[in-house]
Amino acid sequence: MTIGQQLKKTRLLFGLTQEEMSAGIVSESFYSRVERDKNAITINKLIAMLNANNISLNDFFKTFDNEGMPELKRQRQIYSAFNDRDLDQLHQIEKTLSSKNDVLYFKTKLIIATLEHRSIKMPDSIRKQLKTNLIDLDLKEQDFWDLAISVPLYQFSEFTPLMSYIIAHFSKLDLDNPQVVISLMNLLIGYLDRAYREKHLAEAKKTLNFANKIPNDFEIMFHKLIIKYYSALIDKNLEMSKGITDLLQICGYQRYIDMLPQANRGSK
Amino acid sequence: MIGAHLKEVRKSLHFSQEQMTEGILDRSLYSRVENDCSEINVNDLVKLLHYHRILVADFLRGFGTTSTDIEILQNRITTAYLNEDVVTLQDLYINTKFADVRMKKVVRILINRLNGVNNLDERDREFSYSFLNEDNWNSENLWLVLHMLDLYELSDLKILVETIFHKVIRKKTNERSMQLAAQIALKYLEICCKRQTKNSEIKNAIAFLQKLPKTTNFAIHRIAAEYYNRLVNHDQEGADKIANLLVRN
Repeated sequence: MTIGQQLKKTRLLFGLTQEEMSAGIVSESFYSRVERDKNAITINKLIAMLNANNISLNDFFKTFDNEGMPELKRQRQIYSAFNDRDLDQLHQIEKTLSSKNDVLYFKTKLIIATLEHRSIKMPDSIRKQLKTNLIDLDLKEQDFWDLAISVPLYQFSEFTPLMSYIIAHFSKLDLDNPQVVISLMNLLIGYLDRAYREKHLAEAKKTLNFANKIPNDFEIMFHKLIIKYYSALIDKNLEMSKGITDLLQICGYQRYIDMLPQANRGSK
Repeated sequence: MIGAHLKEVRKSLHFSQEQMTEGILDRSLYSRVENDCSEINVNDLVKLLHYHRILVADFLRGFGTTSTDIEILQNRITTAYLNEDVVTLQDLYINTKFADVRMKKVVRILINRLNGVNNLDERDREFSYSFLNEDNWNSENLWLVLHMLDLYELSDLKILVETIFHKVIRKKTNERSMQLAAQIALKYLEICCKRQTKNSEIKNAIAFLQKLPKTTNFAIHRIAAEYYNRLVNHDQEGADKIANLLVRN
């Protein structure tokens, strides 16, 4: 994608003429040459034009970031495969990563090990990089993917303060952003899973209460159902836990069920 | 402004101007850019930032007057619409700078409908019906139509929705378009049940939903398909079971 192509695409999308798009910042004829990639435009003028037309810079540059930094796309694929508990996909991604891409490679390994209930050896430097300190936790800026996949790297008691911090600062979270909400749900499920398996019931209940406060938006209704499953396990509500697994199985989510703790066998 | 920001980023990387520009950009030009004596062209800036593994979108945060991405704005409107939340819609209508005026139009139509104004004026009717001849089912158009489904006559709606199903399945569309098409299918099912249409229409929509990928993103759509499937097969008890699992604790 070139700047000219993206300008044209954006302009047509918003139903603007070349004159409207150029917004008096550059001449219409110059703008027209930029759109055909005959002239280059400076960042200052481009920003002024996009601002004049209420077009988000983020929307405009997303394509270029995706093309220019392919590892980001990889990273999104990894998170998405994690969200789907799709081990096959993760194994495939693992094969395509050279260990030069250190962090991404180990992220993938870590997720696979977690889903297969194995522990993993990794260099201390990487481990340090993957573990978030409470101090680094910036609730405004980020999603929770890294935190969600790194739950197994912590001692349970080490992770509790991070969770408490997030719960206490609920109002600061950007819940309008789907990536934030979906990654947060994955974090809650990961933490809940450990709390349940390691019998920290008070922490589990705290997490359940928190999950209930998150609005029931469409994109996380599935995650809410999984959280409800843990709640049924804790309450020993066999009818409900079975109801949920039966429904998920009929709808094609056997793979996901296989990774959940089973009701009849108790924890572990 | 851009110059000062570049300098800030360079300092945070502990680079000299040479290290910052090596092999990408003329250093003396770069130096003028940092001092805001010259402007850098967009291609050079993108190249420079990506070379240092910096996202352009991140770098430019704070330079835009429109902070909300279109997708996030769309989601907020959709959620407010599904929750029949007029207050939020009105707030968005007044306080948002819409780049796409069609979105603004849809929000106004939604507000009117939630306020009980059921008759469309001529312009709105024309606008909604223009989609019957639409050929380009990109995510923007899918989103607009999703919010206007209950404006159509049933016979028109059927053609519209089935065209969309067909297009989306045949063409490998992106995830976002797929999501919107799935939401259109759900809304369509709801309308069909409300207006008590023939079962064949309902079955078509169910069949479409069952073809969606078995990923977490589409889980709720597939579950809803199962719900309607039970309804069509007169298994009210089974359908209620699903509904009960999905209500809030």
